[in-house]
Amino acid sequence: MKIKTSNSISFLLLVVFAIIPLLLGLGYALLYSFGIVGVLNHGFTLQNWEAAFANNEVLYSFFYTVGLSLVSLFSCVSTGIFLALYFGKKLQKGIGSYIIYLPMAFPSVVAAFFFFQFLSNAGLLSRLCYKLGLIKSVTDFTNLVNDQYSIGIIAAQFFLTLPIFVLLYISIIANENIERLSLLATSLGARKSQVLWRITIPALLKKSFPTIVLYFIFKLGTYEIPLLLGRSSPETVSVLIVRKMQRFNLMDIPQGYVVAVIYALLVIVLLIFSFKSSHTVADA
Amino acid sequence: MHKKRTISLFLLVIYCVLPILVLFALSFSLNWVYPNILPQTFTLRHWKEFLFDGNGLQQSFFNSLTISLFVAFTSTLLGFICSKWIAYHKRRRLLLLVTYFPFALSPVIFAICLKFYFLKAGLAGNLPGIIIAQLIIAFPYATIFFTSFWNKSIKDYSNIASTLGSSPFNSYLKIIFPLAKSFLLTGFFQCFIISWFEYGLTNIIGYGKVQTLTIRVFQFIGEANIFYAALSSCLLILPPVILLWVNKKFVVHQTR
Amino acid sequence: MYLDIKKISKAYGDRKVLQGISLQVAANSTISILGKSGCGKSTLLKIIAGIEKEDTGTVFLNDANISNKKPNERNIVYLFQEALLFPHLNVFENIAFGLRIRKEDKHQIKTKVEYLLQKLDIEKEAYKMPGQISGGQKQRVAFGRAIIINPPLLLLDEPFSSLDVETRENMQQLYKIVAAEYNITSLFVTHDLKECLVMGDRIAYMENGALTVYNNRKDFIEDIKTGVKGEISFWNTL
Repeated sequence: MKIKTSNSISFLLLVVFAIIPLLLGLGYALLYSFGIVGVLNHGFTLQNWEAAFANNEVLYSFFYTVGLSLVSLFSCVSTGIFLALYFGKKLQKGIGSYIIYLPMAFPSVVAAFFFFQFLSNAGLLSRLCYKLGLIKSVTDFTNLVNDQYSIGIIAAQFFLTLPIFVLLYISIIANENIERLSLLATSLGARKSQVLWRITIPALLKKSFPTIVLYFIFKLGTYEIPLLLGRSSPETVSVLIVRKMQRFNLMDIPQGYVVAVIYALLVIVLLIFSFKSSHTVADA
Repeated sequence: MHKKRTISLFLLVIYCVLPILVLFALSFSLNWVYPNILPQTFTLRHWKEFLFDGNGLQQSFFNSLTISLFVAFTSTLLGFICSKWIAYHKRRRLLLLVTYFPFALSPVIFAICLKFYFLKAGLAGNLPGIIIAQLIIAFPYATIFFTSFWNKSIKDYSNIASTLGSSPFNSYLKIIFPLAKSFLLTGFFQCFIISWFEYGLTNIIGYGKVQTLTIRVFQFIGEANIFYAALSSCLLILPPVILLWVNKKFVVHQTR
Repeated sequence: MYLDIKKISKAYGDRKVLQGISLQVAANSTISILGKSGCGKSTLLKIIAGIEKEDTGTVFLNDANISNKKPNERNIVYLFQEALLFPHLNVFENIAFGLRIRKEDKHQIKTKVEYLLQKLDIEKEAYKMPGQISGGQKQRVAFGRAIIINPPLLLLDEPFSSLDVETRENMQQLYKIVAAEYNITSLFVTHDLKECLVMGDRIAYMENGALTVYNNRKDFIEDIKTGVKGEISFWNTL
């Protein structure tokens, strides 16, 4: 009887704190996007969906966000693998093992603020270049924030996410017998580079794939960094949604909900994909 | 090779430590004119104002602290309870997937979709509303985190204790909680950090009325007041640095 | 009969793990059950201990129906294959656990635990943590933890299977001595033929969820499916 009560409580907690907010939030967004609820609702309409895709703003925003996430993730994963393999033991004990955690103490807004002070044309990097004689004035330094290539955003996201992947790969190397597998491959005649590209890296990528997908999902929804360091067009999905919802133009609000629904669907699909891939990885 | 590795490690240390040094330096500065690398004038003024609440930052700090402690405590407790049920459930994977979803969604987008309900319930623009909104993202995280604690070994320990005559309450007190101590602490720290770092959701649900530290940072950035922004940033970083150090030094060792 | 199991059945989905198992065990005796992996022997023990619920059937202990009782109310101790010592308690406290939750007198606990430590030949390990002792020592501790509370019934689920041959034989002898001293009634489950013959006063054989109980050793040896004859013939032809 007591066990059943605790099960009911757990079920209730999940429903109250996870399922209900999800259904309410997504339900509201869906209904608003179809004109069924909202300030200017006139009943069911596809107008808002048509308007959202009338120009390419929404499409570009999604492509931009996905592209940005992929670049940021690729840099974190590749650098993380390199650092874990190259430094490995130095980051597991001593001062290195504490230092690597430091970026995890930064909220996105602080990271964005720092990188603005670091990469803008009046920032620290520009001043260093001036002192080294590489530039002659502040305008000679290319602004690396709010720029065309989103360097500021990538740098800030890289700073925040790298430690997570370094620690992840250190842990995988320790727990998955990567060293033993490498030795085995060597004994079968593989050269160092072959061991690296045919054994070590594929094994690490396979094991970390569900985490990579999960962080891809997180990066899709990132808000503070693109808000501060991004350019005005295209915007990332979250910035676009918030802008549309908070504008005085009420016609933009339903479009904001359209984008929110598409984003939520994308997250569901990716989550299911991540779960399926973690099942495959676990079975391997 | 050894030299290359040492230089690379040195660069890595710079990469990790430089942002903190820059932010602290700016928080003690009055001006930072181009092209000087270091600020011209150093001052304790900003920190003194914080300590004597001259700029309302102290209130923001305590707002953030109150919210984060409450959210961390509640989500840890509720997440620990709920995670056991999920971990041993037949449909564990499906339940985990459902639990992941609110956590995976961007908090600011989630907040925008829920704003209507918070308004209707009178929870917009106040502390309770923000706490509830943050629980909606912290609780799923805590549940997911603690699910990995409830493995076969824990179940076997509970069963052994039971066959030795221990009541469920005794088993929790003498077996489960001692074994879960480090997990609970780490989970608490992580939920604290999730809440402490939160900006977008807090801004949407709080309507800017509840001034947390993250909101103040944004305000100072908007006002181009980089020195106060740096000060607020330092205040934001300090607790997580301490928590991460405590977690690394004491909690991780316990699990070994 | 001290333990009386009547027609216990259990299925997981379509898979019938136990099919109408009936078994009686007399007080102060050990019945050993031989069976391969997956034949349902662990499930049977877990049902008797109350850790799992049977689909049909009843369990009587000392003429009382305990089928609906919770595990902590049955006074039946289950010994797992792995020692599963509580990792945060030292050897002394692991053994004392059952007495502490029964709120026995501190001095009594000390006396009983020290006596058992000596009996099990692990006095020197009393204040070590589980991670600091060997597999064989862990099993002794697990055994001590179980018998110190004088359980009416002890269920042993292949407790020595992870030990090397010599340690295993030592544990078998130790168990028989201590079981006699503490008047233990037990079910001993194993997949090892020799162990089955050594440990049990009576022997049973389990296959595909069905149980065959033998009246005497001769019947057990004569039955081809138990594999004894096959073993004998193997050694004879070498």
